Amino acid sequence: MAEFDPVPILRVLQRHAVRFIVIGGIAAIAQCSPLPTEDLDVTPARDLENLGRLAAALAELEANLRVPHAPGVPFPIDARFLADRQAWTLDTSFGPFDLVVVPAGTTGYDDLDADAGYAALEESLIVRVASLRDVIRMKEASGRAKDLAALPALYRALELGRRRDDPG
Amino acid sequence: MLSADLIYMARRRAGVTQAELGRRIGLPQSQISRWERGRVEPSLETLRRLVRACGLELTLGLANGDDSYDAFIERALDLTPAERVTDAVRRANALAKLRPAIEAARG
Repeated sequence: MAEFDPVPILRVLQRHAVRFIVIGGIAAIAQCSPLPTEDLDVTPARDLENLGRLAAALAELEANLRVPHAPGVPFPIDARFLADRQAWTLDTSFGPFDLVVVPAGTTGYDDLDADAGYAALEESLIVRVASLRDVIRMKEASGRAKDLAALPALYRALELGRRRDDPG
Repeated sequence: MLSADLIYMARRRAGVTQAELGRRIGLPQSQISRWERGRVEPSLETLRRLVRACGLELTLGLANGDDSYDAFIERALDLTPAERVTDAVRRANALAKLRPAIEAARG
């Protein structure tokens, strides 16, 4: 498996003009979560035009379906195929990359867009990032043990971040 | 976590507008908005009603205090988002390199 680096993946998405929002561990880390992550999760806009651009980006990233303890499995990357599923678990030339079209507790891109912010990861790489409270909303709704275990740290990050913004 | 965040997350999770949530508990949209902006805080009982009106349950309990994350979070607050991500990626890859040795040691 390739060494994980989300920045080149995001660079490729940006170059292909894909509309997406970073969610999950990386979104939380950008907003001071102390918890580690080993993959990049994004929610793309669902229109076919955007999924077409996403398909081109995935081809450039040499994306395969991620399979536990085995090499990735190639799949036909095109917009209609991507539209068929709610989530894709992929391996790329820069490590694990998950597409979550409709994250738990949300209705997808437009829902998250309402409260998302921007994070500058490089001078020319500014990406849309789900708000920390939306990251919490998704993890609470997913009900998965690892997501629920992350909540105390995320609540604390939200609280300390607010305190820093508004000490009064 | 503030009441404002709880109300926002419950409402968005239920997929309802501020006006609809207000209608469900018999208050104007402007009151929901004030609560979500944190300008004023509802009572605990009102907060419970709001959450219930979203089809969710507010659970409360007492636990031992835990500030074990605070030092990491405070340190991260002093960094830029780019620095936070770079730091996390470096740690993730260092951990990944150690994993085979850890698994071998476990037998």
